[in-house]
Amino acid sequence: MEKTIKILNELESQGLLDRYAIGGAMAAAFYMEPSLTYDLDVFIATPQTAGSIMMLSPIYEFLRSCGCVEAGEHIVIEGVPVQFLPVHNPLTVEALREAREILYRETPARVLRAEHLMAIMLQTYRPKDKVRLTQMLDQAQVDKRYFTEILERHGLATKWAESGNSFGVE
Amino acid sequence: MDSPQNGPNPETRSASNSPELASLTEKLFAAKKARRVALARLPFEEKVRIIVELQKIAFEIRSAVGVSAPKPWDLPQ
Repeated sequence: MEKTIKILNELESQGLLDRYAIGGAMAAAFYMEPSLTYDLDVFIATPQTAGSIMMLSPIYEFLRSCGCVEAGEHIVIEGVPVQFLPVHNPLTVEALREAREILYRETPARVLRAEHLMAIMLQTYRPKDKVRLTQMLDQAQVDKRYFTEILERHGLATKWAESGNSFGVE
Repeated sequence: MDSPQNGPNPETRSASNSPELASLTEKLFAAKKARRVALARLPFEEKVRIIVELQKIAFEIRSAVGVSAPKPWDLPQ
């Protein structure tokens, strides 16, 4: 996956992306036990901030020129199906802005913070999000204060209270 | 086998009330949780390797029963 990340970094250095961070199941795997997943969700902000699918065109053109092929809603970069997700609401904008810098082997990358991932799971709240949220609570090291602030900032505190989830010591 | 008419058989009933069994079960669940936490602390690169192994296992199982399956990632070395 290191080569995939190198290409994401290349997209950023070429100015085709303003910023990217790994999200979704792969980001969750950064914080908890690995589980089966097939794609790499990448949250992005692009120079064209309008929420249009056209904003992905230059990225796809560049990737095609590198030999990447499209597969459904993904584009396969160095063997990994990648789905680009433009940030689309205040929570995802903040999550991308505050993503943490990591090293994958020797390559720098960015991953959404655990607290933002959990807030996004709560906001989306599909069955798989519910499961992952519970696992994150069990296994991830979470800054509870920071997480609570995110929930309050993005109007998710009530949904959290109603979800039945807790840190067990509240 | 329990039946709705007869309730749990004596063997099951005594096992479910056994403090030893309850203690053993508690230890097993604690060990499982500790294992998951240990897996959560693995380096990210190792987790990605495990995910690809899981993809291979899922692919083999699904293919064996004739169910279409996503192909495992073909990561360059």
